[in-house]
Amino acid sequence: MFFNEFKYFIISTLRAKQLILWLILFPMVMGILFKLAFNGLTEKQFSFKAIPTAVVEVKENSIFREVIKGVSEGDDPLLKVRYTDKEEAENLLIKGDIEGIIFVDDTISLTVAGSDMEETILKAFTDRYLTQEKLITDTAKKDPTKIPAMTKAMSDEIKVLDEEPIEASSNDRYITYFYNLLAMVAACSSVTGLSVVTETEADQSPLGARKCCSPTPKLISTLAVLLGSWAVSAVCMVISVSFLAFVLKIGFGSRLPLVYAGGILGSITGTSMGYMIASLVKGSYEKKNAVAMTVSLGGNFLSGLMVAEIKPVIMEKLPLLNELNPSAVICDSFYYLNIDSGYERFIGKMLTLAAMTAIFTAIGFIFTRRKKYASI
Amino acid sequence: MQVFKLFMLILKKKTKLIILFTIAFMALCIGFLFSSSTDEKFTESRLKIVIADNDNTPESKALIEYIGTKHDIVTSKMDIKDALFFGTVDYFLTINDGYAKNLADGATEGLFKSQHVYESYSVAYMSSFLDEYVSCVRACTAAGDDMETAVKNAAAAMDTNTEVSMISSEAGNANGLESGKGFFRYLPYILLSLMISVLSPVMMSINKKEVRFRTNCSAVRPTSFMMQILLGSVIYVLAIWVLFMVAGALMENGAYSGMGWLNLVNSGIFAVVSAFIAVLVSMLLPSQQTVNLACNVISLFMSFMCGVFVPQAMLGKTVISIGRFLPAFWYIKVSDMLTGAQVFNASKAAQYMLIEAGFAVALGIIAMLLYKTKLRSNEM
Amino acid sequence: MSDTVIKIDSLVKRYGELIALDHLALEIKQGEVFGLLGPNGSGKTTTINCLLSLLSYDKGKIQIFGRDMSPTAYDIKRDIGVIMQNVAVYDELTVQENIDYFCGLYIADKEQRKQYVEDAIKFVGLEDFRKFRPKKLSGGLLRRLNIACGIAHKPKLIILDEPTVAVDPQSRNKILEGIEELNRNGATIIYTSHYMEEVEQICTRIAIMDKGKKIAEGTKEELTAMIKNTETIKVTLHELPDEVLSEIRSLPHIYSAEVEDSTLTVSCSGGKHNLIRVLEILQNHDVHIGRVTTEQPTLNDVFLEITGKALRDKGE
Repeated sequence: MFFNEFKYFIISTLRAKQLILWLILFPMVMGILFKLAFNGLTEKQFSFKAIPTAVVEVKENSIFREVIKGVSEGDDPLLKVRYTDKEEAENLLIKGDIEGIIFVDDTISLTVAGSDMEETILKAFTDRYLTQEKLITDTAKKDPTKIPAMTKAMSDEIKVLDEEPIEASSNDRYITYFYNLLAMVAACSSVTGLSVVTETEADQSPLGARKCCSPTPKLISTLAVLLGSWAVSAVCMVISVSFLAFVLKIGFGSRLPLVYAGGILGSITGTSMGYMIASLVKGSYEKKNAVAMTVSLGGNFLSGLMVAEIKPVIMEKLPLLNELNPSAVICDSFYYLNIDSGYERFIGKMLTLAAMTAIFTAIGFIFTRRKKYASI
Repeated sequence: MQVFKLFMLILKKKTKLIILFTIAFMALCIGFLFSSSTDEKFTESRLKIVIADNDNTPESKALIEYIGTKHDIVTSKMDIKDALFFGTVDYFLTINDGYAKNLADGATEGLFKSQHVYESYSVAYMSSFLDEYVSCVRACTAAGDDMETAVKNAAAAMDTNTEVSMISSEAGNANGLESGKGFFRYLPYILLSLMISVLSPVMMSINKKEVRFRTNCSAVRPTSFMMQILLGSVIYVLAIWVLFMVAGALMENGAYSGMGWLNLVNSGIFAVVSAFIAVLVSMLLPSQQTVNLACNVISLFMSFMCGVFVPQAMLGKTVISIGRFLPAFWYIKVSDMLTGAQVFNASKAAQYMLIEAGFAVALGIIAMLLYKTKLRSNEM
Repeated sequence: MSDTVIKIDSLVKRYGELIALDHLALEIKQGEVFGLLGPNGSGKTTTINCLLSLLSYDKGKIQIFGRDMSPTAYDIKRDIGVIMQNVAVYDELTVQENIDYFCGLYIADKEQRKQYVEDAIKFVGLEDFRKFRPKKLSGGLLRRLNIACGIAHKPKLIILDEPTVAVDPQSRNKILEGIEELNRNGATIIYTSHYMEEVEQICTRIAIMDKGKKIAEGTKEELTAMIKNTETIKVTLHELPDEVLSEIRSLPHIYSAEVEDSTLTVSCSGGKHNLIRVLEILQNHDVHIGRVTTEQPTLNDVFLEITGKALRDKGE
């Protein structure tokens, strides 16, 4: 009897096109959109590239020329320099071909078109030249004999910094959008979870009434539909993860099986959340559905599906909310697989999800325990 | 006016949805309200830096103090890895134990340690900054200063400022996500959503085959039938447009001052384009249940492809070339000019808006043709 | 006692202030087709839902097969088939799958179930529609599927709650024949309806309900015998002078005579030759008469006489 219920629940759910559209097709479309929109965006936005700059020499300055030469050559040049006249340089700047113009006159001055990191670096570069110039002229006034020692100290190649880049599978900030997409699939699985109540309770639907008249105990039919909805959600999640990982080639890192595991557990949590919501919200299926969608998408909003910047703000200001929002927990589990080499934090999130599932299911169960109904 | 009355009656059922959409959209916009600013003067970017001082000497403290004048030294409750990844912290610097001693001894190797996630401008900037600082201190000691004076003099010398002037550029803030944030940039998304999710189902209800047959049998002429629906749609589009223009005035100071009045024209044209898209959707979809999905897919697709969510300057070449064939792309071009993300150019603005209007006309013609073929096939 | 299938004692169900069932008592015997007749809102469906332990009730006792009914009385439920007012099938499953699913809630044995599903499909005549989804079925066929889902497990007691609402006459006859066949095969049947013709046609015993109370119970003959009306005479005519009408009223055994819409309706209680006497008077006064009919009393007359109102609203 359990198997009969389980089998036909899965058949009927998979045939309902609504679900396929929302839990499979929609994430795919969104995934393609994210891929198109965010592909290489981190690279474009964050990665350092030599800054295109024009130098306009109003006055000859051979030392500065040397310095410029020093920073625009080598493996990792700071600047990409071209020498032009003033008019052309301004044209280039207006068109956006260069980030700034360095004017070499009695002193060095800078013309830019914005206030971003590139301009700041340009300014830091010219500042540095002026600083050295100032130090030398100051010393020249005080004690000219020290100048050779000073220039040597300043021109020595030094390496004061040990850089330790954090090894992540993907250092693409926008990958969080894909984590969120999977979290959305998981959270929206709650709609599947609604049927655990709507299909087994006599006051919810004629189907429920018919089931209540049968000799199959309610515990068994509830359990069958619950497991069935878990299975359906898990299948949708597996399809979504596979699509992202293999078709769109999103870098989930080398621990892909664990990404599947996190996703499946997350979708089970989402489904159970739907079960709980359906048991707590009294009224029609439409009402339950509206509440489930609002809760799911609200959670997704707070974990950064719409505006990615929300997530770090909540992590910083309201860490508890970040711990309790299922969508955020799911996103974090994927993120930890990306950034951590160990498993500690990932396992922590998985335990959180398991606990949530247990609590949601228990609440759902407690609130649907009644056997008779005051009205149908 | 029976058909018109029916239209309004069905429309009324959607009021809740319209209110919900509007409120959600406003909330989203308020979030961005504070971050939008257009700079007239050059200001240096300040990084958010977390510093771990393992040396704890007057020298290391002097360095931290000096960094503090140029950047924001912050503490983070988050794991440093997470903070760097999510960008709440730009840079994590460790001053190694023995910094003061090594500096005095002239040993420069490995004074600092840093962690980063992205090979970003901040990283390049900080590495060059630390080099400069150390070499300045060394230069000062070479000039005979003791350590205490050296760090002071180095800091003082490094405060030399280059004179910077700003000019406005056509490409504008090519690298800034901040550019053009705000109400009018996100407007296409909400207009499309509201038109498709409201207008399409209303149209579908009115044009339902069985009901259509009944109407066709009545004394209402087909042209009158169409005109009444058209009238209803025009009123709806107008109402939504007015609603959002008023909202725009409330959300953004001086939204319509100066060249800002073009915002009215631009969004007006886009509202009409969205309405025609909604009409087409209502004709092409098989059932009302699919409207929601179509609405999400179309509005998100348009928004991502055309620079509504991600600025056009950040989009890849493929996306831009697809975007050209979508109306929102041209809306954003005009909008970018008006927010200052692009240099304003009257003839170009006019050209872009004409393209937008062209989309409206083209969609209208397609809708008409489809309607006629549908009618004919129904006659069979 | 062994042939009592259902025994309901002073059942009370309240919805807030409204008393839906007011000390209802019923006893249904093995092999009966028991009709529960009453206007909309009289408490028929509430009775059924209480009987099935779907609804909680305020007072009373319900026994089925001699045992107390409860939500967990699975061995009782196993022998009950229910066909509700609303069609309860999965839109996503085919005809065959639907029947198999619902049958599977009762019968675990696969081989046996296969046979039962086949029997049920044949029984309702849906052989040609096995692979159809419910959405593709016409209203009558859908009702038949709904019935098949309820009876596939061959229950001993079948409860049908208005199974013929919005069904075309042909399908309705098929359904009624089916119910009679189920009864012949040994099932006890409870049938609720507000169509008195159906109840008259198939029920062996009938309870009439109004406002949550049982107002009469018995076989059709017993019920009609309860009232004084034995015969109704209807005569179509153009015009009837008042003195003729009074003359008809003064005849023995006739307790009412009215003219409405050019039709004279005369209600009689007992006695013979009523028709001849009425016609004689009309002839004597040279009244031009058209069609003449006489009717035996119906359950509607019973209901009308007991409650003072018609069983069904006009036009229903």
